[in-house]
Amino acid sequence: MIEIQILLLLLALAAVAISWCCPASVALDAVALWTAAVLVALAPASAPWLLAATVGTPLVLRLGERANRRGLAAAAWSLVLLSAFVAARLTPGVAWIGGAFFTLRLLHVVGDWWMGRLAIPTIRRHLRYQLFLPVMFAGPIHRFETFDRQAERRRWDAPLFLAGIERALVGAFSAFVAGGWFINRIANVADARTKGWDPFLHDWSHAAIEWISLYFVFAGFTAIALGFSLMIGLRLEENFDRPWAARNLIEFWTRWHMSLTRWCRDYVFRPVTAVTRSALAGLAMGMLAMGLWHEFSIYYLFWSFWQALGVVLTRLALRRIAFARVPLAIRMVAGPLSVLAWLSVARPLFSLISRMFA
Amino acid sequence: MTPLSKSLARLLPAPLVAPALAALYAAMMMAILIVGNSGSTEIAYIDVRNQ
Repeated sequence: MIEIQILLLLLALAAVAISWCCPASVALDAVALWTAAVLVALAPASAPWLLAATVGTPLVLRLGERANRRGLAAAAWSLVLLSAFVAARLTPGVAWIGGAFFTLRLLHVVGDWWMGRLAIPTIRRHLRYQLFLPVMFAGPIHRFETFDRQAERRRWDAPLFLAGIERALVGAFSAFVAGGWFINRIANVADARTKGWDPFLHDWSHAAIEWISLYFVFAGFTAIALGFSLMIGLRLEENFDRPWAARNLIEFWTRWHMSLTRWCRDYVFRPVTAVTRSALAGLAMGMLAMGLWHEFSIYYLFWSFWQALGVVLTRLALRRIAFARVPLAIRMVAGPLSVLAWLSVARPLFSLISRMFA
Repeated sequence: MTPLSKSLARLLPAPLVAPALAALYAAMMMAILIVGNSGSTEIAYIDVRNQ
């Protein structure tokens, strides 16, 4: 039986064909229609909500503008969107495709409108932006302005199309061969070899390999999404900038899943910092949002705290230690390794603490 | 020129670029077809949940 992820990729590839078979003026509307059909077929519970929220957002914002209650409209609608997301996450058995990415895109539209950075999109433009199958289930969390601008400029470009094919192929190789198969084999070998080790060290080595696998799979899926988008004629935002080259944790978070990090910076970190006048509170809330976006669990609460602590310690270390004096070769190796060690120690540490309190 | 063909053009003489690129694409496609469905791709970032 074909995996749902692979089926979705094949259906996203079909969206490329649809976009070039239809007249240019309605090509992206046809892709949106195709996306809606795919959602109705594969995730009947999430499809009506997604469609209603996509159509409802411009209407609610228009209502807020007419009534001169922008803040109230933005806050109330954001609360509705977040509640639906939380309810869907907590309700077992609900088929859900792309809910986490889709909710953040909606909140981005609401947030930017409220801050006066974005005019209310027409329903048609909003449908085209939200119902874009290639980025539906693995991101990036692209922005409305970029998508709309690219959609306006869209035309046939053979080099762009070929670059898209190559990007998608390399992405598929990264996700399925490097991450899904090769690193998993390494993980199995490492698992067998570290069985006699202390449970903490065994879990830590396992978690470190998991992070490497996660990079290849996630970056691969993102590359496929961006490749398909290029084939359609749209150049969307990048999601990774060689995170394995990051020399410290702060740099890592500017290179890994960049669209989520930017979202948390713009809509959580900056507002919270502005209101509380405390960057630490902004950081804590930003990391909390990022953690809970992944999963509602005690582990991700701990994960959020751990990442925030890592960022604070990195900032202190950068102020007090003259890293520039350390030879470049050592920084280039020790930096990424220390980042990987910090990221991967969260799970074994959480297991250790859980065992202590159990 | 695609990014991979640019990289190959820096490393190889011009007549070898196209065959090398074709071989690389073929190798990647073969590998995807052979092992593509064998590994698990279920991660938190691929938002297909509660299926």
